[in-house]
Amino acid sequence: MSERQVRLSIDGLHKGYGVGAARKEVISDLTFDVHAGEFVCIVGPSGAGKTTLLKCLTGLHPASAGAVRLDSKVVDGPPRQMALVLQEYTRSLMPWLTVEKNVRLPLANLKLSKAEREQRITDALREVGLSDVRTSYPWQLSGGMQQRVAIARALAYRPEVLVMDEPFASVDAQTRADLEDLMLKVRQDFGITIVLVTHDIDEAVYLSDRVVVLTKGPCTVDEIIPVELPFPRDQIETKSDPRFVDLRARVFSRIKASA
Amino acid sequence: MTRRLTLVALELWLPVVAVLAWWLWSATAAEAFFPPLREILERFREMWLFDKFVSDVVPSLRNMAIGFGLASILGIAIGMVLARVRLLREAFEPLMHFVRATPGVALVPIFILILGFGSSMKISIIATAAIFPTIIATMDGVRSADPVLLDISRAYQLSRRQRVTKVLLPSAGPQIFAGLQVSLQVAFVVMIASEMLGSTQGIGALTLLAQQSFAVTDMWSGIVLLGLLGYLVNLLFLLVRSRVLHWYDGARKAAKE
Amino acid sequence: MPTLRPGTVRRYAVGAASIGVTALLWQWAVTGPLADKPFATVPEILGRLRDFAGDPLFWSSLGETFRVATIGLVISVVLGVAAGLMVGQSDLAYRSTRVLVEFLKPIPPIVILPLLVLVLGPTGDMGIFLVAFGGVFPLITQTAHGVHDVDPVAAETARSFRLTRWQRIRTLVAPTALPFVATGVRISASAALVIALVSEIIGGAPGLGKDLVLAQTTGDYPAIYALVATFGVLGVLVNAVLAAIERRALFWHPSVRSEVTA
Repeated sequence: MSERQVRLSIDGLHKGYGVGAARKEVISDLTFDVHAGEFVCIVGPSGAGKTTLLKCLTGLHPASAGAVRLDSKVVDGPPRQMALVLQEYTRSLMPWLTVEKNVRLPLANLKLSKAEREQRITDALREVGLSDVRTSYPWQLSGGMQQRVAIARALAYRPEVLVMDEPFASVDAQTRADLEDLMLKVRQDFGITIVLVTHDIDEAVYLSDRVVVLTKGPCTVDEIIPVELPFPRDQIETKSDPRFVDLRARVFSRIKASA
Repeated sequence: MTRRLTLVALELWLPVVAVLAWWLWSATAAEAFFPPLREILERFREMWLFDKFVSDVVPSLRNMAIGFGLASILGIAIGMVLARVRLLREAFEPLMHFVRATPGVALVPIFILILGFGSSMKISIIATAAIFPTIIATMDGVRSADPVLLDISRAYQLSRRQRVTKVLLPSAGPQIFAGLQVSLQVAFVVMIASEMLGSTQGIGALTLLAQQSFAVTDMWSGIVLLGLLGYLVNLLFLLVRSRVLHWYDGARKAAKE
Repeated sequence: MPTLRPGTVRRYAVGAASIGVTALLWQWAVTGPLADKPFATVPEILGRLRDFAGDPLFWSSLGETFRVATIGLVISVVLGVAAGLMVGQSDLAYRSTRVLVEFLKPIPPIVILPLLVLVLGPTGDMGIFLVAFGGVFPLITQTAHGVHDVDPVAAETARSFRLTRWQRIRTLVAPTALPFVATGVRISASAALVIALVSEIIGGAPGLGKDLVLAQTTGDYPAIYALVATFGVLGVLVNAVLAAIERRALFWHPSVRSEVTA
């Protein structure tokens, strides 16, 4: 894995808000790399600053010090090669647009032919299994399906890196398992790099090539744990693998120690 | 089917009884100010269908449509700019709340002094009085846009134009329409007031002139027309609103279930 | 008392500066390019406002306008809440009156003004009637809506406990309906002043609105602008007072922030 190309590098990142005595440090000297094609999950105790980290990663918030680099270019605003999926699916889709229009919206600015654009929409919706609800509105769909729309929107955008913030925290357990398997399939089919923030340790271990464990806020990297479990992974088989159980215990104890 | 009929009957019996009662009472009452409804309707047909339709009804409605149209377009545009530019917003907010609190009808005398009694005065005063509810509603609506949607818009590098037309305007839509509805009511009232204060043309002018010359039946027919128009204009507005905001009504219904 | 944050200070400064700039622009325009048009200079308008302060006639006009607005509002609240309670408590009454109320509600009071002037003359009573007519429909619909909103489970419970009609209204209907009624009162109250002025400007009833028309016909420009400025200040004050009352009385209820079309 180490000889592979570094896609995303976080280098001495600091982030704080406010000035003077009211200043609050949220991220303190955070450093790690994500390789091309890798699936990395970021976990940490609640209040660690995971969402802030994600906003810095995607260029939505500027870093206070240090830098985030995408393909060795400093991220100083949302980069074209990145797509975003958030936890609040009801709020991150436009309720006034149908499913396909939601997916189409970010494509309008890319210089694509009409045929190419429509092909991408069709492919993305098929990938997430929503080909037959193209003209529905998001609010007519279940939570899990809405999150699939958000994923399709990201895929049609053809990013190099997909950043996800607690994407499955608001759906029921069965849907959650389906969506986790969908993400493994997406990574396989599209070969993209995925960074996923979660508070769920099982989810992190199940999905990842590596798990980045953060300390309590102001957060920094506590430990990076490689997950050497075979692919394809399976909700029952993988999760009953003794190595999975060990890894889960290890991540859990790290989080508990730092909380 | 019978259930539906019962419901319709339930909703309509009182209005029917009310009109019938008015008809019967006014036919025999011989009250100077309350002529028989039959005569009012007769006069209504004579005056508005279509003797004075082109000379008075059309100009009234045209003035209101132009005035309200200008107020809507400019109001939404100004509201959008004020929502996005903090310095302008802070500079204009106190003035705007002051002007909005001033009744539009009170501005009519000033506009008459400056612009005379013609259509340009009427259109200007309608637009001026009606613009503020829309500006304020648009500004509030755009400013309360969900920050999550703004993050998404930035992350997917939506252009400024897309952000305004595909994200900010639709998300402010429900509030903008609430503002537009107030603007429409103001426009209707000011249309009437601008005609009643010293004009000789328009439905409002005819109705008031009829009252002043004790042509009671003419006055009643004017009141009936204005009442019908007030109702129909609002109805038309609600139809447009429910078309444009069908996603909003749908989403709210879905959230309730 | 909240402490003044830098943002608030800045906002007041910018607001004050923009009012100052507007006054300067106005002064420049009416002494320069618009000098022969029907405007008045800032010192003239301010001077007239100062004269108003010491003029008993101004105060009696103001008092009359407020009297008409207040009495009209009180009548519309009493009638509107009573009618709303009746209409809202029975499905039969609700359905029967719906069409009539929905038809009359969007018709602005100015429409019936000629009839009222004919019957009652250009008097304060005419103004009171007009204010009451304009305010009563929002109150009927808001109250009926509030009563309709009573939780059916709670209503069932109340029935099973055999509460009397009065007990039911007090313990069940009133708390649910109150916020809706309050919203209706606010809608009607902010409309009351405007309708009172309309009855004076167009209907010729005594009050500040009639003074405005008088100033217009005699070409007393400073008085016109001073009166319109007075209306603006009154409107801002009434809105501020209503907002403050509502915040204090109903801070606990989310429905208060419903859309309002006055």
